[in-house]
Amino acid sequence: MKEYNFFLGCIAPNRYPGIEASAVKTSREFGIELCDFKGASCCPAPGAFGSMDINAWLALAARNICLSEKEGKDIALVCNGCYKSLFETNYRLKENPELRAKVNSVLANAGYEFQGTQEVRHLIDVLHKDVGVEKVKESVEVPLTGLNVAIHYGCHLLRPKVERIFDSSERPVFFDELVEALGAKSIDYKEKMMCCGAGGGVRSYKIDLALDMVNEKLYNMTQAGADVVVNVCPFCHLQLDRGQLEIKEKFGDVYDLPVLHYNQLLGIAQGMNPEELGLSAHVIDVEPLLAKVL
Amino acid sequence: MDQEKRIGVFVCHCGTNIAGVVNIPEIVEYTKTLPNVAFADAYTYVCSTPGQEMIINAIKEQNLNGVVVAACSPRLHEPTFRRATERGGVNQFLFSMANIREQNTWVHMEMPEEATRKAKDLIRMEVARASKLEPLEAKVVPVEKAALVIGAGIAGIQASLDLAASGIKTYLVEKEPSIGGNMSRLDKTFPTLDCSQCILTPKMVDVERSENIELMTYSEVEDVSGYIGNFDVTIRQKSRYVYEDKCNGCGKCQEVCPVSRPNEFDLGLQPRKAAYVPFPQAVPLKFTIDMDSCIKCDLCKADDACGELEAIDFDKPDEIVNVKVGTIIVATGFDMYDVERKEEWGYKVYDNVVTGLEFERLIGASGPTGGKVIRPSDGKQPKSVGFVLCAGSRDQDEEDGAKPYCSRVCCMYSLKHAHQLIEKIPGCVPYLFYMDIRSFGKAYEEFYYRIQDEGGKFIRGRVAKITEDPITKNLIVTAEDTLLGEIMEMEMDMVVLASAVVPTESTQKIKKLLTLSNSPDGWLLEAHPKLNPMSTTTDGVFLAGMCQGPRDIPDVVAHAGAAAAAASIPIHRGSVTLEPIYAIVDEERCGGCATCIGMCPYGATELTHVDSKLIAHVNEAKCKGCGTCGSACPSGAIKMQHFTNEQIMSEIEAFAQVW
Amino acid sequence: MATEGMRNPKHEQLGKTVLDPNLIKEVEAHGLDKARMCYQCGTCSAGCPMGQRSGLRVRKVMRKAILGMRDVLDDPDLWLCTTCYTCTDRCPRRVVPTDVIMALRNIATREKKVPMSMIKIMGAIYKTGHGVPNNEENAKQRVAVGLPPNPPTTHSYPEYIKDIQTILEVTGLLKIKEEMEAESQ
Repeated sequence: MKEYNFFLGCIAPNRYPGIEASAVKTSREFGIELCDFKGASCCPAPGAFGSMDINAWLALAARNICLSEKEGKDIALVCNGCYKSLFETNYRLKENPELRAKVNSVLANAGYEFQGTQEVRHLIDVLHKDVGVEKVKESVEVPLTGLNVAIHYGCHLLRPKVERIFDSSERPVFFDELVEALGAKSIDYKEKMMCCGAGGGVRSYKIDLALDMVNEKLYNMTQAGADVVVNVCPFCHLQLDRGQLEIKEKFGDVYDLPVLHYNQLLGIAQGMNPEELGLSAHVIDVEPLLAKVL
Repeated sequence: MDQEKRIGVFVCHCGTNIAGVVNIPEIVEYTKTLPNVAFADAYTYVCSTPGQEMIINAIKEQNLNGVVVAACSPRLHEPTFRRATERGGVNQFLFSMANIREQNTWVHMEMPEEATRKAKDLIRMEVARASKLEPLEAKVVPVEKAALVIGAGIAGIQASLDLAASGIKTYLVEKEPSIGGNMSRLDKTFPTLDCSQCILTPKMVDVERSENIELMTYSEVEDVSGYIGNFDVTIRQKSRYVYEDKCNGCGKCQEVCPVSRPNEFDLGLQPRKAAYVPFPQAVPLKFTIDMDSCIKCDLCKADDACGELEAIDFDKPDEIVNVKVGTIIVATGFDMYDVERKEEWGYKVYDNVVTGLEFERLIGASGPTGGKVIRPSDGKQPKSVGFVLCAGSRDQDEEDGAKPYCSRVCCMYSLKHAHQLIEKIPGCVPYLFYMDIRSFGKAYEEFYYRIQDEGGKFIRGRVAKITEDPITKNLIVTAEDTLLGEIMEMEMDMVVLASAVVPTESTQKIKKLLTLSNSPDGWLLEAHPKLNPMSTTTDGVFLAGMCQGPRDIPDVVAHAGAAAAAASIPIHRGSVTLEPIYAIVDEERCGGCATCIGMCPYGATELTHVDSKLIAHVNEAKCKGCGTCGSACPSGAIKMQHFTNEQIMSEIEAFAQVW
Repeated sequence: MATEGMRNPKHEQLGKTVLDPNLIKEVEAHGLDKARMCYQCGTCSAGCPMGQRSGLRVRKVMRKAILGMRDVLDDPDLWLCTTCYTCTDRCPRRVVPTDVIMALRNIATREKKVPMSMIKIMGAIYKTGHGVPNNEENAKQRVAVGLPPNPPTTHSYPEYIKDIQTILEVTGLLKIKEEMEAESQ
């Protein structure tokens, strides 16, 4: 059993607990234990918070990492935003002694010290690199044949490419491979790599413009014949799911396109009960999707 | 030193350069007090004729056996003063210089007292060294009256023709089956719109006909040893599996050959047979069998093909040829950057995105479409073509292998392509997406004016991404028109990426063989970027054409001519004089440990047997006197002539004397 | 005799473009030493998804930062960037425009020019440790999927919140929040 401290962030535990629950359950199938991460906080939101003060952002992110360093455990997470905050901070402070000293001088006021002893992993990367596409395939009990999946990679998982670990940020394939391992089809759609519009504090600052972005994405996905949108970021998830309700209210466009986090899709394919995956909490009804595959 | 040392010191005013800062009379008086100084004087310009006469007279009158001039940098007048010393009857290597200008008065202009003191220090040090100098004889080596040119594109062709015309036997080695290089791939050349093949083939024919040029195609240089005037070159003449003297270029083998492969000359855009010539105007017009693809069906050997001539032999081996040359010119040219690494532009993902060089093949009469520009996806004529300038050039992205330099030719060839489209396809609109238009040469700006006049459209903005309409295979090119501040998403039938030029892979191989360096940008390093772009710091090796850096055809030809001129000088003189500033091995002390062998950056040391003992030996011609081996030798067996440990130590000790 | 009429009051300012060469240095102090190397190619603006639907032009923001036009700190469009980093990935001069925008936002924050929506998020973190805190409806959902009503974060261990508050205080952010909240009353 490989143990990780499961960094939850905010949106997953506090708005879509199904993402949290499905991550824990599906990971167990592969011998990965996502442990309770005591005392963690907001990552903090890299776009919104980092816009105000980078040093405070680094310090708050480093505080979370310090908590895990004390237990000697690596961190796993399921959110692109949290990935930027924790992975990038971990990487930068490890590489740059001056920056580390600066951040530690802030942390010292609260009694923390960043050591740089642990790793931060996005669960999708753990699944692709450590578990492997083959094992994921083998774990499938309900093949999702005939399901057209519009994958939304998100932004902070891949970019900026010089501070990330994936091969390509323009035409990546690893997420597609993990979806197709479940028997589904990853469809191509216009502007697949485009941002959902939620980040950078924009969703709170000018929601209409943020929604215009995700509206464009949803339109493109629908045009390409998507049955479901799958993501690896609860904030993108919120934007895509709750966003459809807001779009309907503000602009009148209706898509009724179900939205799932990858771990929820994986859970379905592994034969888990939709209830235990928290699918009923979604704004957009997931029933039509379930009817198609189950 | 047995003889009493009598050194003459000449302090130069250098006008006011030196005299305006330091106290010359005080310096001269001080110099007279130094040990071994028999004579000291000053003059306004020692480098002038009367100044040199002063040295010569003083040598004779004062019976001097050593000369020190305290003046400017040796880089300027060391040769002048060495000659004067010789004319005075003293060995030129008993002369040395103290630099009291660049290293003193020019940097301490505000501190005359300190500068005067420093001048005295510098002279004291140089006199101490001069007291230990030994007479040396410059070494003269003969020069083989032949030259080697590696690469037969326009650069190598031009260089060989010039060398041959001046009477020098020239070996021209080309790794492809035909000469011509990238220029033979071009359709028209800017700004005159001359047909490239039309201006190139006469030169290619001249090469073949020239009595002084020995042309070796489908051949590669495998090894080079030796030094200027005496290079030993090993060349592998790869087997064509065809006897060149029997092949008459009739092409029957090509006709019957059943195997097709992508033609490298056409960048894979059209096929060739396994028995092929790369293009119809190939020089030499001899067929080659690509044995990696040949299925040995023997159809080419049949009676109705090559049967009568019996030129084909599947067992014909490679031939190894050894030649001796005096100088070498490298002309290995360029390749295109693998722009598929810039995934945002979709090269090799989208059918209708091509590179500038591929566009040349499409628009060329001998190309895959006979000169019709058609889209790869459906063969239709494009009515709107987008040109992406600076595709991989002027780009700091090391991750994608992009190049920080400007590739120099792409603005001009994109303008040319725009013109050709306007001319060939009525109603076709070319759109050039640019950051700058660099039309720097003769008649180039006028060409830019002309293309704008003819209807070329220019959008100032670098292309951020290209997407494809999955049904029409049209491209959407996204760039900001920075002059308007508007984001443009323009649908194009076709896109041409003016991708960066990069050094060829073979340049790296040749670089190692000849121990050359490259500049930080990857191109071969010249001796001096402004005053000597056609030579290298390896004596006897010169550079011609793009291998030294991106340039257009007129500049390639000029550069090749310069290289040929430089390469012909040692040959015409018949001998080269080597400065005796090199390392010498004391064979008694050498333990054959080979430490120096690994250290020498010039490959000048080697182990030899002397009376069954392994001893290091220094090739004086290759040695640059850098001192690496001298300091590394654990036995202290290596002496650096003109910079011996004794000489340097005496300088240091003289410096350390408390003032 | 000259008298004041309806002349354009801007005439006084004309001929006196004010540039602050320190602005780019303030930006570069955020670890962005290549910011000044932008050559205005427009790759950033062209790929920016927000540029497609607003007046945000990343290239222009860079221009103002480099020339030193401090009015960029007052630009409401400065806060439209979603930090998707598309521009950063493609920039041929490796200028990292996204981080330049973040640096400008940092500078603007110190001048109290930050939108209140951001201050609100800081407020939530200050109070609960979460930018998006738990609520009753969600707590029920958590139980329904087999999780405890509160996650094991600062929600279950509020003793850690004071550490977060300390950090907000020593970095000076708390002061800005308090001043801005006071001013907005």
